[in-house]
Order: sequence, then structure tokens, then C-alpha cells
Amino acid sequence: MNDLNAFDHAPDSELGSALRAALSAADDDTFVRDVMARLDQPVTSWDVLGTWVRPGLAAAVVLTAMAGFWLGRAVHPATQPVPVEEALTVTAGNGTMTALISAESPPAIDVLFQSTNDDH
Amino acid sequence: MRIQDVPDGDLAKRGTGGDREAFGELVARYAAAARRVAHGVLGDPDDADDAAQDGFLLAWRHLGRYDPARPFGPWLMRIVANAATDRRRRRRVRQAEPLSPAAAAPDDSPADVTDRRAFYSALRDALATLPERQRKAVVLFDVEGYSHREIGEVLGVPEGTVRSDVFHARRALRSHLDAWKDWKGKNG
Repeated sequence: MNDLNAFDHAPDSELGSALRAALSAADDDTFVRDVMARLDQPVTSWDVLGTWVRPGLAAAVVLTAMAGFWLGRAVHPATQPVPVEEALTVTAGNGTMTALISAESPPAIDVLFQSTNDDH
Repeated sequence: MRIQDVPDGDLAKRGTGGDREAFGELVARYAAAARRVAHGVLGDPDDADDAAQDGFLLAWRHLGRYDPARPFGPWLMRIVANAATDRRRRRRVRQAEPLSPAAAAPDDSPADVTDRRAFYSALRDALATLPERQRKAVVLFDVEGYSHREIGEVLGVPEGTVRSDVFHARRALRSHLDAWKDWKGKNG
């Protein structure tokens, strides 16, 4: 067979016959009886359980990841945000910085230098 | 009308209503093909029968999802092929594989039977080396006679992909077949 025939749209009867012989099994009647007998068997709890194995595993993975994340945050809590007034109070204990930020008019140059000196 | 003459779609409708005899007729019609497709996927006849049975049971439970306006064969083969793939993932490896009873013709000499069995075994081995989708495609096309479009529905891939899979599978398998024919020509 050349490559053109290999791409043929029609079934390859010779190869198909060989594969059919290689793959066919004996006693289809017994197989059919076995299938029909299984139809009569009730679905057991293990069958039901089996159908839940994969979704159950996936859910367990997700829950484990969420629990790990939660525990991680509990052990190493994130730094709480500090109110701006508190931060300014800590930085400029004499209130100069607060006055600078909240002032409606530009500060005098000596006040500004005073503020910078206080910081350092 | 005898049940053997009832079309697949009508049998499936009756099966949906709980008619086991109707479904049994469908099982009888498709048993050989389902076993071969599963064998092509799994390479082991016992595993293949288990997978084909699983496929039929799933088809029975979900018969209400079948659209009677469409061919029954591709719908069933999709279920069987998926059952075989699922079992392939889970199965344990079996070393000894019984020889196919179809390997011997009644009038073959013992030597011919041995040669033929060896060839079929080699052909199964060659099939087993192919990617799973190629195995399904070539068995469904060259053995079971489904169209590229139907196989595309079974495998969930475009028709062009099926053509490509069949092409590559044939090329690999044909080399074994041609080598065996050459050998038989020289020694037979």
C-alpha cells in the first residue's frame, strides 16, 4: 500500500479482515447473556460510591488547599492597616506633620524645615 | 415483525421504556463490534469483555439520552470506547494473553494455524504501539465500517483528524501485514 491508498476514504478490506480476525472473541452468545444478567443486578452502594470517587477526590483536594490557606493566614496574619492619623502621629509626634497636611495655605519655609528636622 | 427486523432506533425506544428483550437484541447486534473495539483499545480480551459489558450497562442506564433520529452504533461505540479507555487507566497489567479463537480456520494445517496465530498476535502488538485514538479510529473505520464523520462523533474530534489517524494507523499496520504476506509467499 502506498501513502495515497493509506489516505483512502474507503475501508481497507484486507487490513480490516486481518484486524477483525485478530480482535474477534469467541462466543458472543455467552457475552450477551452475561450483559443481560448484569442488567438484573441491582446497583450496589459500592457502584454508587465508585461514581463519586473522582469528584470526591477533587473536592478533597480543593478543601485541603482552602484549609491550608486559612491555616497559613492564621499562623502568619497579614499586617493590619494602620489609620493615617495614627501613622502621622507616630511619625510626627508634635503634630507638625498633621498641621502641614491639613493646612489650607502653603506653609512658611521655616515651618517646613522644622518639620523635616523633626523627622530626622 | 420479528424482533430481528426491528430498526435500532425503535429497539432503543422500547428499551427506554424498560423492554429488556429489545435491549437484548441491540446487545446481540453490537456485541461483536463492541468487543473488538474494546479489544483494540485494551489489547486484552478479558479486559475488553469487561469494558464492553460496562459500556452496554451504561448504555442501558442512559438509553433515554439517545436520540433515535441518529444512528445507534456510533452512540454506543462512543460509550464502549470511553469505557475501554477508563478501564485502561485502571487496569492491572496482564502478561499472558490467550490466543484469539478466530485465528484458526477449520481447514488449516497445524502449521498454518500456528503461523496465523503468530501473525494476529504480531498485528495486535503493532496495534498496541499506536496512540489510543489511532487504534480506535482504524478499528472503527476498517473493521466496523463507520464513516469518518461518525468516528469523529465517537471520538469527539474533527473528521480531518479521523482521516489522519486512520492514515497513520494503516501505514503502521500495513507494514506488518505486507511483511507477513511476503513471508507466506516465500514459505507457504
